[in-house]
Amino acid sequence: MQKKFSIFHFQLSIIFGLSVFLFFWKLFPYHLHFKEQFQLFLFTQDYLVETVSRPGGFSNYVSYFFTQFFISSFVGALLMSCFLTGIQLLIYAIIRKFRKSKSSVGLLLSFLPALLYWYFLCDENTQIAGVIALLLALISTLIGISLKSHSARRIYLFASIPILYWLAGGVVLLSVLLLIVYDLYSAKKNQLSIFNFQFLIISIAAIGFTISLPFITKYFLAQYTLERYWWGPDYVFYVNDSPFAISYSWILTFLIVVGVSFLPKAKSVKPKSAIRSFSYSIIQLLILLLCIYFVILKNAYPQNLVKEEIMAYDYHCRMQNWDKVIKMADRKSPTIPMTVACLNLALYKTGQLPDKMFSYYQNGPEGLLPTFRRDFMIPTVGGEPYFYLGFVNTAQRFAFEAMESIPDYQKGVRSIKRLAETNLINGNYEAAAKYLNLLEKTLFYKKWAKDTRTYLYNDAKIEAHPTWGEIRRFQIDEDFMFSDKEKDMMLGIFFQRHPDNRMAYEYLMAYTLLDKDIRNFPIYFQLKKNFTYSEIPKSWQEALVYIWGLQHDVMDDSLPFPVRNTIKQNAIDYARIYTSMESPEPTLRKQFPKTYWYYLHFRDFKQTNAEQMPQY
Amino acid sequence: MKNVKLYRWLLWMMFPLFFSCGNKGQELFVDELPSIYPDYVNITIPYNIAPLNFTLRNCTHIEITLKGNTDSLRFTGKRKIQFPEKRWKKFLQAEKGNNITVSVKAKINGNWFAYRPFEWLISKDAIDSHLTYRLIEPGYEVWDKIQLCERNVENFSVKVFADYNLLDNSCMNCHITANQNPNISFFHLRGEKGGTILNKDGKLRKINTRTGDMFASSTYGNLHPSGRYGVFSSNIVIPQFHTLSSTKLEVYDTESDLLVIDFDNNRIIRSPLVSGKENLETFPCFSADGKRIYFCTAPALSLPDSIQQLRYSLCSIDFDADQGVFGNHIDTLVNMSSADSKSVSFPRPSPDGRFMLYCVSDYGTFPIWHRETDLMMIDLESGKNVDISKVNSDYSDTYHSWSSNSRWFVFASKRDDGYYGKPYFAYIDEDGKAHKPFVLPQRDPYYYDYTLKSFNIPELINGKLPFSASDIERIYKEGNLETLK
Repeated sequence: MQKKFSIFHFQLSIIFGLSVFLFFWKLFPYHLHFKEQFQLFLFTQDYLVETVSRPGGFSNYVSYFFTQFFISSFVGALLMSCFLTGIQLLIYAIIRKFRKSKSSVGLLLSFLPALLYWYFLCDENTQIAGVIALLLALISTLIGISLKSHSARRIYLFASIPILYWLAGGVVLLSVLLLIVYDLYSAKKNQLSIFNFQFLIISIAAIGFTISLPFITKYFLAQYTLERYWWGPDYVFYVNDSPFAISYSWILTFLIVVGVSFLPKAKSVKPKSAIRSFSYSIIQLLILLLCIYFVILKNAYPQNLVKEEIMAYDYHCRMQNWDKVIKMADRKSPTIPMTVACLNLALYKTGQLPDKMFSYYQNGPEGLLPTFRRDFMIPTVGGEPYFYLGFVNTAQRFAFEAMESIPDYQKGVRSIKRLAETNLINGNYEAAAKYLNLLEKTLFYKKWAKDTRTYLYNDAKIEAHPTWGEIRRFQIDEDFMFSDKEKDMMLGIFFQRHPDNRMAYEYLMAYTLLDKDIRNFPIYFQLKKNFTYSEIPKSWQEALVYIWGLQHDVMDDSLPFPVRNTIKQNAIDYARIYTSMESPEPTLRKQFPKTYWYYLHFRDFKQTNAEQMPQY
Repeated sequence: MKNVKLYRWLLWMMFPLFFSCGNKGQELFVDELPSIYPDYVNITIPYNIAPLNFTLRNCTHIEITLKGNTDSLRFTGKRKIQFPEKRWKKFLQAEKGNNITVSVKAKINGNWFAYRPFEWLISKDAIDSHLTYRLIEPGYEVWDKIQLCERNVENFSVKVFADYNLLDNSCMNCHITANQNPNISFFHLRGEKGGTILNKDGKLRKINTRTGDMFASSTYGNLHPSGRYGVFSSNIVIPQFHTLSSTKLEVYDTESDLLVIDFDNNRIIRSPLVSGKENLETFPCFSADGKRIYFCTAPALSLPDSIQQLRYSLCSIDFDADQGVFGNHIDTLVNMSSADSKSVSFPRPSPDGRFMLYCVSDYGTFPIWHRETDLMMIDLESGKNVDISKVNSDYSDTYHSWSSNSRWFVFASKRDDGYYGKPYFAYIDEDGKAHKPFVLPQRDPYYYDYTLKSFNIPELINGKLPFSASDIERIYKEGNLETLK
């Protein structure tokens, strides 16, 4: 019967692990990809030494090592599942050691710290390093309490403090406290009590030693603030923010282990009936599933869903999954400039930008070519259209500045890759080689780097490359200063120098429409002759009809350009409603939400700015 | 019998060792110099420099022989040579003033190659023992991990003396000393609690070097040898971004003036000759004796439209340290006012007052991002140019600083990749002849491959700095901000 119980304990952990796995694999995969792109794990001695040479640095190193596997959401979810289940299993093992019993008391409670960490991990601001640190502390505790000899345990206690502090940082305090409490528990009756002098001295010495370590470290290594030495690893992405919430998981762990250990042991070990134990197991399972439902699915998931969507746009844009970007937008139109920029790029890449751009929510020129901001995310995504347009220096600046803005001061593998590309296109082969050197020291970008190395100093090969070749071909030999306020002018210069640069032209047209610059639109429209269109794209037709309507009373066959009858009729209907109603917006929103006219009259894009974006 | 078996077994076990060492007897002689990295081929080095560890890319094993007048040493390594520090030091001391021959053999793709030997001239003139620099990613507007570091160039020890982690990630400008004296120095520390940090014999002060009537903070500066005065330019700095692939960033000033700060009396000294809107004045520095101020100046133009016409000349003005007043006329040392001329920046006179080093770019005032920037030198006694083309490269060579004996100078060069500046040392012999420069040696010769940091404004100093990162943290967080009159 006891064996059956143990199997059930394990089954409950498996169900928990499976839930974590499915959650991150199916519901939050882009959170994993998001993390992966903002770190650069190098298999070099310098990287190892630099990372581990501070308290908690080892936990950071291990977390960076595992984070690189988040390039695959399947593996990433599996790792998340292992980490969180590992926490639960270790806590449960510690509880059983404390209770010196194999009963299932405390089984359900042992899931709570892992569940709490799961909740934290749904927020991309929580780093894996904290999980690694907690696992190390629990392993250390388990080793300590597994020692049979009383004096061996005490030697272990003092020996483990500096080692664990260096490996895992401030979480060492949890391990020390658990070892001290266990020391008290494990003593024979009347042999040791909380008031025992020896116990008190050892406890105070151990706690004092633990507390003194950050001060000692600060004295010898002045590089970090005392607070950073208290905490150790980077628990949160914004490393300068206090990670205090993370310590709730430590407090909870301590309270559960100690609290459960205080519970009286059952006097008889009378075996339960199979039905009763089965019912008991089912109830435990239901409670666990209910907890997961309320904590994760009802709270953490909806709280972070918007960010998951943004990360999804970012990921698909990075991977050039243009159809997936459009499919996402078909389900729910993106609204913030960063994601709208991904959508517009995807529309261009699939040849639909001028036709379909107003079928989705547009928030002004920022949703086409985002302005640089001192942030790690906006320039990362915002640099994509500039790259494909041929604004290589701008794409390079965005990639570089995004990397330097990563809140935990790591380098970003995605930025490094883009820097290698921009330097390759610009012919700065020495710089490109430097970035490729770095990528060759990674696990998952090594192959790409080795392949890309064959392009160095090989202009003909670059020119034959489908992406890099085109971008290089559209470079201009005239220098001018990039200006965020004159993007249309710059697109115009690019197009002027290369009248076959279709992307520059369509972006110029889109920019003009989004900027509501109807004065210049007809002028730019005349340049359309360089390209073949089966008919004038929809948004252009709508703009032309609108401009025509401003100067003419009737919408008849005298229009100097071919316009679909439906668009003509819609324009007449739209004009009628717009001019006849006092507040036409609700009606027009209902009937013509996907037209340029509605955008022109009712979308105040200046109010949609970066400040409205979710904060990372 | 048992022993014979054992020997046989040992020989059998050692066979792969013989095999893996290759047949050095059959090594191929290559009649060319080895392409070692860093490039330490045929250079002049000071006798007190740290070991010049290097690698030969693609090799699996390397063997070198150093042959001097007194001794001959052999070193081997896998993929790289890392000299033992003690033997290196002893050898260089013994070979002071001599040429030593360096022979390199390397195993590449299983075969040993012997290259044509090259030489190192061990100069009797020591280089200043320490080097300060700012470590920063060569970005545009955003900075990440800024650190001010002090490296002992006689070994590999590095001390961070101002760290972003301790200073709310505030921006820091480079650390400048008075005549390479570590006891008189300053750097600007920006941020909410920042100020100009002045070090005088280890006593730190935090000073607000911007007064109400100044249009911008103090930017580029230098200290008087006495430590009493600092000369600064106050600049409105504008960054702009090029679109042409060969260029990156342009930084220019829309206004800039010079001022001297009397740190003993916390007062500002100005002169109408070096301020006003008609001209832009920048990059000031004191002469070694403190009696003159050198600076760069250009007529104000409409910027950025006329940026390519912006050319700075090198000028000087007297400074009376006793009275604390500027002189009443300006001398022009290098005139760049003609249309076909170039632009001068960052003048630095040698401590013995004999030479003046400066940067020359096609135009503008921010040489670090001008690929064409080269170092130039004039003999201040004769006024003639001295040819130092040997030290320049295809990428920008800028931000130089002299060793206190005026025999060595350090500068930041982007010669490897165009982006990441590294400190290079060059020797100027008694005849004023420049020798081929070499990069600051690192313990691991692959260090420069994987670092994403630029070494900004390397400054040689003749001793250790008398303060630490904790001192800077303390004055940043708790120090009183002094104001100027």
